[in-house]
Amino acid sequence: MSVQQVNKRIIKEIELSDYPADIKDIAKHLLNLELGRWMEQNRWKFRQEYEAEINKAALKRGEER
Amino acid sequence: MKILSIELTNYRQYRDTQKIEFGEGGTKNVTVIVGVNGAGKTNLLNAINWCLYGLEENLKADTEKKQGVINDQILEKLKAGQIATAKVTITGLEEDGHQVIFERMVEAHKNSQNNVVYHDPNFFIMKEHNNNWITVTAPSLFINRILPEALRHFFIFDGEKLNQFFKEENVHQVKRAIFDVSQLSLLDTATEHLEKTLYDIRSEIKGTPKIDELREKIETFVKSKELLISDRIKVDESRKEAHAELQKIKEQLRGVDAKSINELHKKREEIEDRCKRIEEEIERDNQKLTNKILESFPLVFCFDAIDGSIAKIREKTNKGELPPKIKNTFLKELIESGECICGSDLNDKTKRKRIEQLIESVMSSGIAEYIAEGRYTLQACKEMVRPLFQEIEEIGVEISENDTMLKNANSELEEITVKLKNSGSTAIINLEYARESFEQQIEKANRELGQLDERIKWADKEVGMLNQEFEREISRLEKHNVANKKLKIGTDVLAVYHSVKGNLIGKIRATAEQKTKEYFLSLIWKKQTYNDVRIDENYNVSVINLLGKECLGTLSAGERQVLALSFLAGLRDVSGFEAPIVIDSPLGRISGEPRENIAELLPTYFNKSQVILLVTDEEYTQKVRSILLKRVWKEYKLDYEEKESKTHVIQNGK
Repeated sequence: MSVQQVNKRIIKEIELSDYPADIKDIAKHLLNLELGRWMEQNRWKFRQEYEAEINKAALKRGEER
Repeated sequence: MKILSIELTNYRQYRDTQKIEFGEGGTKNVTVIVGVNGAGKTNLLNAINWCLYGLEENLKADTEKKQGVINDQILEKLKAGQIATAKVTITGLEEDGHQVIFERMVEAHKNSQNNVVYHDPNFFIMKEHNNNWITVTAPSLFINRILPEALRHFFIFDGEKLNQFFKEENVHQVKRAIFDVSQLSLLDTATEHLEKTLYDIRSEIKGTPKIDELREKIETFVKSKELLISDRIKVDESRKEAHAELQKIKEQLRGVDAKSINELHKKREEIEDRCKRIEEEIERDNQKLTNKILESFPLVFCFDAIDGSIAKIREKTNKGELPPKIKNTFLKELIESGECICGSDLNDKTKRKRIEQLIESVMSSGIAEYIAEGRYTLQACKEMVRPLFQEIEEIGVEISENDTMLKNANSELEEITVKLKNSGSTAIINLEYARESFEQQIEKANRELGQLDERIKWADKEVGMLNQEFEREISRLEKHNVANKKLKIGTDVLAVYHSVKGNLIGKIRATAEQKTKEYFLSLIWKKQTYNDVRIDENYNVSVINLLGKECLGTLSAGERQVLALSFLAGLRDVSGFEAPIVIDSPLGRISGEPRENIAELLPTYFNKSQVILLVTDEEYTQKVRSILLKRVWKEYKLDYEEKESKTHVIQNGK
């Protein structure tokens, strides 16, 4: 499971909790900040994946046209 | 990721370059590597771990540890000033169809004193990218994406060691495994950063002496908690080391070439198992006893009062004082009518007063009337206490019987220790003393860990209470309104994180429990014996038989291995990683029909994954082979040449 997937799972669990909406929002926001930090530290890992995704989309667009 | 091949160059007994190719998956997802003991199966497992993580955890003997990874023959022939190299290269295939190469290499030279000096190993990863190869700049992070180091045990493991999984320190291992698989480090980091932020906010508040005093107290407790945590890590490490040493000694005692010693050691293991079962039973009974006492506490507490009241009521009833002879409604009717039943006029002042006094006395005896009726309720309460007393007594008897059994078993263990110490063989005597010393170390460490856990909990509680007091204090000062609000929000968010973490781990534990049960009940051959597998909130694993009784302690070595295999397969599913499964001696402790049953089911469970099985001739019987063959992509044989200290990898049929 990737870090993003784990993060999604945590966010979902926060949403399901009984805490006030504003507290839940901050909890989610801080966690996303943490994910951002993590991604920033590991951005080399995503470069290739992002590029592959962009390539795929570009190819698809080409096919559609 | 799938492993396409592994190439070993001068790695331990794999002298020169030996290459093994693996099946990619699909219906033929299994690669079988057969070799006798010592041929290099476990070192193949070590080679994978060494290449990917720089770790060799399954070395069988101390000599192997001392030797280092380069083939000993190569090192022996090495001359001063010359360099020898060992290398393991793994070629993998990623889901996107690109290949990846992992390579770890180490060099060594001989110095002028003819001693081998190892250099630092080199590790690199190359990835195929747009028809080019690029070097991955942060290899350990890249590996973490494929299979994090903490999760490797669920994919690459020694089947023979699985037998120990639920035998000793099971709670610790099961808990660790579930925590690892949960991968909540992101949540932990967010919690840690938030705690630091709140700490900074508190530090910036300049207030009354009371606020300063509270802040100082909080800081002291936080620091002492940190110290306690670091102590805990140290003690835990030393316990793990002692445990590993103990296992080694037990293995050595098991391997002693003397029948009488072997029998004593076997008997000791049986008694130790028995002791564990009894201890578990005593613990369960103690829990039952506590629950019963809590349940009956109010009644037991009031028992003397209830008994005394019943006796008093009986005494009053016998004297004729209870229930009251005249009802006050009757007397009131007399007053209202103004005439007694004997015809006397009750308007007469003296007579009327007499009746009024009677009413008053009967009024107070209304309570007595109630008490007289309440006697039955009190009696019922007393009746309820009796069976509870009886149950408590029965549990007590059971505990004391088990205590006696435990004492007897411990004396038997002591006798065995004495016999082994007097065996006459210095090697065995030394092993026995070392075993005893490591057991004492583990016991001491366990006690210390228990104390430290309690102290950490206490420090946590104190910090929580002081924080609340701190917030209350600053809420009184208007100028700190903003800081107070920040602290309140931050504390609430922390509470969200703690509760979410607990919930997620709870859910993962429940899924692991369900998966383990599913696998275990399908893999186990005694279909009519076992009914359930449970992992409770404290991570205690139990196997329930059809009679509803817990029977983990009575599982045979093979059954326990199946349980551990099921647990690992369950956790692997929960982890969501699709890495290859490498198992050394998966059927080592299982024989006959059960072995064939597992051979049939194992590849099915790891259906989507690539499976690499390292087996001995004895495990890979004709029957097992014929069952597995439909799933096998390639078979290899490891041929060890003792003279040359070299293993040849031979593909079957070539």
